[in-house]
Amino acid sequence: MDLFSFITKTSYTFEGKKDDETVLLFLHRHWFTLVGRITYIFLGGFIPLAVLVVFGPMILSNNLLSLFILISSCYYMALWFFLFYTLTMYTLETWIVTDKRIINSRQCGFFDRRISELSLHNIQDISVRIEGAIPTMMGYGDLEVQTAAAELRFMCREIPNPQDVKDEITKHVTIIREVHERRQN
Amino acid sequence: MNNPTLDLLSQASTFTSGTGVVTFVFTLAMLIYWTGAFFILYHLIRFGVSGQPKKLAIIFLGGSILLSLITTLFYVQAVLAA
Repeated sequence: MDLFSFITKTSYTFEGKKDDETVLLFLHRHWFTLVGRITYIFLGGFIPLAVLVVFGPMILSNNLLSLFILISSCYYMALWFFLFYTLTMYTLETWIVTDKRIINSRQCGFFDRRISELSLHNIQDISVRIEGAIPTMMGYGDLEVQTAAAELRFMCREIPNPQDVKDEITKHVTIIREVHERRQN
Repeated sequence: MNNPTLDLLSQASTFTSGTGVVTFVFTLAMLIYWTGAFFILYHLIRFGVSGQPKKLAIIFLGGSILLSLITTLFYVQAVLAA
């Protein structure tokens, strides 16, 4: 028996998944959207070293080295925490496209979780927006899904290959409509 | 003969001395850190879809334990040096 099977055997199962539902796409924001925040955290790692270079003689002359090392290690713990807080918020923002619906789950802080879903048969129109030099080069953009209700829109922000996602959703919307029409006839 | 007022004053002076304040701040920082760490681990395991969030949770937990041990070691060193 594999001790760590719980890590791998939960692929694409999520709370509220129906038995006859198949996951077609599992999307996150493009990894490049994380680069800015990760860079800040990485650069923050050099601050204690910079402090040591600038104030080193003063720290040593006042015999504060052990206190400085203690404060620095606490600071690195805080950086580790913020790195994983950022990664957690990134990981928990997902779009799951199944053969029946699209589910958007978003974590905006520890105690603010938003989940919305949209049935594929309600989709009227899908549009893709890739705006800016970096999204064009890196191949990510927004996908906007318009439903039958005039104002209701469903946004997938900064997802990789939005054109391919649009094609996949359109294909399944067409299948659902064909099945629906056949049933009516 | 034990005087409760003198004992209290003695305890208060130990607490407000450098080591006492450092101990209090260190304990508080650790408590806050591990409360936050619990929330991160809970969210990753409870709400994560697929194996990736669980792997992240294991890496975070491992790193947190290691960093906590290192920080505690430095804390003991700082207290002994004081």
